[in-house]
Amino acid sequence: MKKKLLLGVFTAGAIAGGLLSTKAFAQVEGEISPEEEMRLVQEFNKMLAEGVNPGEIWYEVGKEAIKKYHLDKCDLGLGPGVFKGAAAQLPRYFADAGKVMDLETRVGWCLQKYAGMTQDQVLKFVRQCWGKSGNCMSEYDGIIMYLTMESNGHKINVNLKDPHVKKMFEMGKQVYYTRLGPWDFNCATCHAGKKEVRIRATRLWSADRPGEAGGAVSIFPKYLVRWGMPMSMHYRYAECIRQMRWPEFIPHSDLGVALSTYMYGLANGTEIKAPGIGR
Amino acid sequence: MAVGTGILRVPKEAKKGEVVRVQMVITHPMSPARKDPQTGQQIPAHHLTKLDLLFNDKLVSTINMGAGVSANPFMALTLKVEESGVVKIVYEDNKGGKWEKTAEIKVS
Amino acid sequence: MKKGLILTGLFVLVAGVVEAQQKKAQQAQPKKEQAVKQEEVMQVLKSGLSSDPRFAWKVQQDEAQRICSQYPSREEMPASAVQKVIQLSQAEIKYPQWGIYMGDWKEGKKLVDSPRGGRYASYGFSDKPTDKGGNCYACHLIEKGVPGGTMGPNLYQYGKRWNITKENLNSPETVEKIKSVYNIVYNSWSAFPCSSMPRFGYHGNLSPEDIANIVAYLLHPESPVNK
Repeated sequence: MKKKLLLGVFTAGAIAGGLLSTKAFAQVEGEISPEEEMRLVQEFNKMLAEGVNPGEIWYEVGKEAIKKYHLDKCDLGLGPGVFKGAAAQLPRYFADAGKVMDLETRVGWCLQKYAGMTQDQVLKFVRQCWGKSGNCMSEYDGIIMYLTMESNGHKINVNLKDPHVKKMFEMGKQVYYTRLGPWDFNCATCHAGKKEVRIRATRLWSADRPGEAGGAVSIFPKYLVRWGMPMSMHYRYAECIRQMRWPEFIPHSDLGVALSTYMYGLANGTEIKAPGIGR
Repeated sequence: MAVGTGILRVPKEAKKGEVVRVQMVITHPMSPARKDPQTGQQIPAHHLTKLDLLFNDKLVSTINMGAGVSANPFMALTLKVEESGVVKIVYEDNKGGKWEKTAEIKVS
Repeated sequence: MKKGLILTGLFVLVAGVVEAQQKKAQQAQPKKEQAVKQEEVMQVLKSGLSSDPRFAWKVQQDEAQRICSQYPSREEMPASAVQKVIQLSQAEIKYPQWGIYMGDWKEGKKLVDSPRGGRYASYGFSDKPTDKGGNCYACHLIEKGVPGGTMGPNLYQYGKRWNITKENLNSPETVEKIKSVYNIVYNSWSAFPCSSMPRFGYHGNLSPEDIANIVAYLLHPESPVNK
């Protein structure tokens, strides 16, 4: 207890000392200090949050795509074609598939069943705009955006009492803390811990601070200004995993479902507010 | 789905003489003329050039744009309303595309 | 008299509660209850990541990673596990030729600034195989005025704070200091077990010469970090 307190005080003092010294120098030199730059970034993010979110255009795209790919027969847990509030109770166990699935995995499964796609075609469909930084409109992103926005206002309600879902939650938690790869990273390297930290100019949310996991996942798909398109959860996993120097993530895999179950499980009670917006 | 689709958002109701905010988002790459780094080929510019805001078919504002505006631009204009009517935006790009969108406001 | 009694009573109550909390914390310490087995976790991980044979080595956990994965943070590790990780990490640290621990700080700056290296994907933003870097600004503040992260300690004027000057640059105490910083950058777990900092030298992300250059950038009196 005492050691933790001492460590905390020392770190806080070190950071304060460091920041203070840099600020002093910046004022002498006339350049922007790191804190000033951070403040400007927060203001930019706040300005982005006002106004219409360009991600809402994908809502219409998704509406058309759902008719085109016969996804009105898709059962997201509330009945075939019932989409209002469906995303809020995902991930859940599906008896017809025999496994726990999150929103994207279920859409991939429905595409195979009702639109006649093969597994490879589904993966290609999912990845059609990955890696592009502009002018790319993906029907898959539209479908996910539409289905999530139909649950806007509903509170996330993952049923952790279901034994299958509970096992997946534990699995996700274990994966979250598994150190792997040439940089020894795991999800917890950045997204755990009681102390508020940032990576470069970006504040990091933590699974250990209550409410932050909810704040992070309830706004997905998130429209990213730098790419001019929304980012779905599985694309976010793929990008995080790429930055962790792990081998490439396969969308709709059990790994994605495990992570979704863990994070949405932590986010229980948060209202869905898609799309979010960020740099 | 295509380039040029947009969202036009105005308050449904307003008081006479009130200044309302007309918000719009238009899907468009808004790219300048540039060279493909891999092949060296010239890619021509593709961006919106003009957006007119009309209220009951009377021109209120014009926005002239170039390639410097970011992709999928979000724009907001203010409009003083004295009577109920139809807000219309008409916009075009440099490749000959022309679109319009309308929305109604009820003024009490 | 009464006030004294009440105060003592409150103190005993608080002390008792604190002790109970500490005991509870000790009992709730890991090993975490294994509702899922380790093999199942690795199975799920491997099935979700590309099985490209070039990267198959990346999904093999080594002994130290296995130990660190069982605890959410260093504070919750028992002393035996901490000792084991330090032991494994100190075992094999490679030094540059001729025992020179400091290199060229200009080269070190390039590695410290670069976020590239090791990020492969079949879509878009992949790094080149020749890219390498430490991405140090992600977690550290290093030079004055340059934005950096706060996950690791502030390294501003690091060499100055270690009292390394041009005069004492070759003294045995300074060489020891330089060597200890080299050890941290090469394999951070030898000094801070299960640290968030990657073990750059151990995994071969950076060569011993690269690390010597980085150490020079951090510690040399001429380097911009110390000005």
